[in-house]
Amino acid sequence: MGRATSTDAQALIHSLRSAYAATPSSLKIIDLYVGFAVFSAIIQVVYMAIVGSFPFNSFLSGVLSCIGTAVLAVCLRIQVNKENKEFKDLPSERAFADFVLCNLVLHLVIMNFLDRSGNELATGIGDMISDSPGKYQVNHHFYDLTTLESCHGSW
Amino acid sequence: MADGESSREATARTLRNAFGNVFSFFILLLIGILAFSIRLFSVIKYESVIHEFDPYFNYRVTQFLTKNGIYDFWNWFDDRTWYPLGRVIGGTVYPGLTLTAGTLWWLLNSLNIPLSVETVCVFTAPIFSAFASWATYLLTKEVKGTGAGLTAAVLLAMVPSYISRSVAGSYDNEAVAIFALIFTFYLYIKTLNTGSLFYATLNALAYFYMVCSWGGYTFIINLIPMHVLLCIVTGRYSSRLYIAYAPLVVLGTLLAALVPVVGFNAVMTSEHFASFLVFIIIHVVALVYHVKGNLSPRMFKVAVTLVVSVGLVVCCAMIAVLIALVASSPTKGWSGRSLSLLDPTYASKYIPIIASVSEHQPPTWPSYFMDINVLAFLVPAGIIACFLPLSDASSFAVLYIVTAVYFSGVMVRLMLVFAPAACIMSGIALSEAFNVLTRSIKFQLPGSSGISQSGDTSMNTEGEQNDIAKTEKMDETAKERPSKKNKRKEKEPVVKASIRSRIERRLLVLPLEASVIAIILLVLLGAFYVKVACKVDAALNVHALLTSTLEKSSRVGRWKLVHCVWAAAEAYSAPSIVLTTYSREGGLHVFDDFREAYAWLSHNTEVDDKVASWWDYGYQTTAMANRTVIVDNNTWNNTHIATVGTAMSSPEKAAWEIFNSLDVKYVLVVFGGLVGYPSDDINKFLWMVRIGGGVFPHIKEPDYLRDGQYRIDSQATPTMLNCLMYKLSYYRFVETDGKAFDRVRQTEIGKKYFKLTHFEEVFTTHHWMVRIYKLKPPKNRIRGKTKKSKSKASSTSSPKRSGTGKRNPWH
Repeated sequence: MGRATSTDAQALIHSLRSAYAATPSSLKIIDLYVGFAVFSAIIQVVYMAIVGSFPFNSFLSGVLSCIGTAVLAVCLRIQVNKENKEFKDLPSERAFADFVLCNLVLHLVIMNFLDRSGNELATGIGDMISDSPGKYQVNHHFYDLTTLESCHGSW
Repeated sequence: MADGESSREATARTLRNAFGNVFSFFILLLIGILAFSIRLFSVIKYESVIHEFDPYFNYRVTQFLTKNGIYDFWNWFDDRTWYPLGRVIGGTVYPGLTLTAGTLWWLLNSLNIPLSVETVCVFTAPIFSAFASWATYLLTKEVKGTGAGLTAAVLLAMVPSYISRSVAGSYDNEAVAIFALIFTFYLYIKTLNTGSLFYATLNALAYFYMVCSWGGYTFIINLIPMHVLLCIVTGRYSSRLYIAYAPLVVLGTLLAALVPVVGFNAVMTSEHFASFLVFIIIHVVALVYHVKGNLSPRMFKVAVTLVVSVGLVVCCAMIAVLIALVASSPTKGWSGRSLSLLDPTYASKYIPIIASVSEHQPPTWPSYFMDINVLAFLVPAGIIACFLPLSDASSFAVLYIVTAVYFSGVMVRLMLVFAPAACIMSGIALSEAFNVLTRSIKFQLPGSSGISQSGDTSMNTEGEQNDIAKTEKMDETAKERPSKKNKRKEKEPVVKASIRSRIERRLLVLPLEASVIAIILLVLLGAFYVKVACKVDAALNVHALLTSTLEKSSRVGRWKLVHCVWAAAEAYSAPSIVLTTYSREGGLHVFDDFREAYAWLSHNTEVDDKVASWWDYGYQTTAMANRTVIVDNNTWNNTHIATVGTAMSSPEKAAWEIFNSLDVKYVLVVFGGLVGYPSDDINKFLWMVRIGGGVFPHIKEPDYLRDGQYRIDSQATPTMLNCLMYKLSYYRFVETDGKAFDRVRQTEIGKKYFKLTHFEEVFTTHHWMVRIYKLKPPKNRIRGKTKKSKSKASSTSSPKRSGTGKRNPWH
């Protein structure tokens, strides 16, 4: 059983490798790029797990920029792949231009998001007023309840 | 010769296409004008004012934005509301609407068109409803073609549910949000149909605009993953789906996090988790499809067994971690308003403030008919038409309407999300019906000139050829976006397909007379659509007036004494700030009490005086009177609202102390008893008691009810007759007609003659709709001493009061 599995696995790896060897080198470069982006995302997540996520916006923008880069590259790979019949009509130049535009938007957003130092405060207050019932009670201690109690008592 | 004929045919076709394009362009233009102008009744009938309550806040924010600029807007801490807490405006509003109107104003001013900010605000909603109907055209066109698109756009321009929220002057988030919603859906479908990254980018940006505009964006970020999941499950996965979804999640999440009011909620709350989960799933599925394409079937099977055994373990671990994370947060990660979507009884059970707003309550059956009327009957037909044939886009439309029906059943407010879906479906249904009927006429007209109608293909008439050309074109477009299922169909020879479709078309042919009559009926239906709508509206409005009883806080409570309304738009155009009624002789009577009262406040009180009222009037007081208020419609702090509720339901003296501790100078109450205005403070009073009692337990609801009934006549409880709200509402009321007959409650009031000890009346408007009282200054000590000999009670209370004064944090 175990033997069969291992031979199967070997055959699988072999056929995967041979199938991959046939892909054009431009696609291989994109694959490398995707792999690198995913790898750096994983590194950041591991770092966050060890050290902590304190400037959360930095962590978020770092990881999401990597994931976003990878996703966009995958989209590009799908579009320029000659075997993909759906995108026969799409010239690869157009695909690349779209890819650049999307990346531009992504990284403009990330640059904007990175240095949102004021964001912490605003979000804190935003949390306070968000409508979850637990949070309604946040400001209980601001108001001196004894005032009302005594009012009631005096009546 | 055949060549020449076909080329002539081709030029004729392109000519017809060009003509059709120009024609539909003009139709769209007209639809835009219709959508804009049908919403102007309020300006024509009344004047260019802003309606309701929330729009006043938006207007105030827009004013601030245009005066101080964008950076001050983001950092704006408003100290004129929620006194003494204040409110961070920049971080707590959805800025989309404000920024839109501000940009419009700036643009017009830089073009040397000097419009006031108010004018721009008033007309923002009609302009965007024109945009929304164009977006509907685009979306429906992607789903079912141009004809359906045009029909849906017309319907959307006139659907009452949407008109009610976007008449000129109702300057609220929904005004731009519905456009953003539909446009985002359009771009999603467009991306799905073309697989272009360019549209995916635009889609993310449109989603950003939606997040800026309205909290309802969570509907998008849950509906699109649902559709993706549906596609995957039904085996319609394609790389276009990946391109449409994966970039949207990454970019959309980042962009949503940029909006201060959403912030990190975009990744922290479980409304957004569904999209991340589907994001992971689509990657797994994409990988599987990719590997499957590269391997032989046997090898693939091996790979599957390997991966499944390993993957199952990993998945279990992941799910366990996720569940632990979600369970550790107090509300299971869902915010109250969203929880009430899943469990309709949640809000009424746990959050009285949410429940007190009538637009957060489940709708009644008549309101479905009132809001979308005849469309309700066309929707099922549209759904059926979407299944013939089912494409990615039409499955999205079906999913959209199904979820929208559910959500609108939970909350009246979400009827607004349902309305576009209903319009799209009805548009599809109507245009399909027209298609079938006109085609059967086209088939049969030549039949009358003698040509046999057997299925002989060589005897094709001109009309039929056109029709086949059309169907072939449709087939082609369908083939451009083949799903896994109709790949097989693609392999079949095209000829066979066209013959088959021809036979199918033949089967759909109806008798000539029937189809002519049906077309006439459809046109008549369209013509009477508005008229039917308004008659039903008028009837329902009377009904609503009768049933708008005590329980309804009716923040949106429309007031209609108008029994006969001749246009759907008119029914919704009354700005709640100015009310009108027709007298028996037919004359128009205007109640402008609210503005009268706010103007009085702004002219006769100090700039820093604090005005207390129930939260409904907070936004208007800050915007129109420019005075500091204690609570407003933002309702972010339940305790603060409960304090005001407690004061209103307490006896005069206790209320005075509460208000004095909050530094209040004036108290404002809205009273409709004289003219019969039902959504006044006495009708909302039970909610004040409930919300107040929720925080301060000495206020008990049963104290205000006699045998479970809320009444203010002689049967009312003493607590009720002595509470501040009763006294402020009915003070000196008996002087009006000698009987003190309350026209809202249809009864004489219980206690007619009383004096106020701690408050003095300073202003009452012309129709007594707004009454303003001033807190009397604390009693002089010497007078207190002289009184001591007379009454013991006051002497025992006065030292206590000074004691509380010292302990009071606000002094």
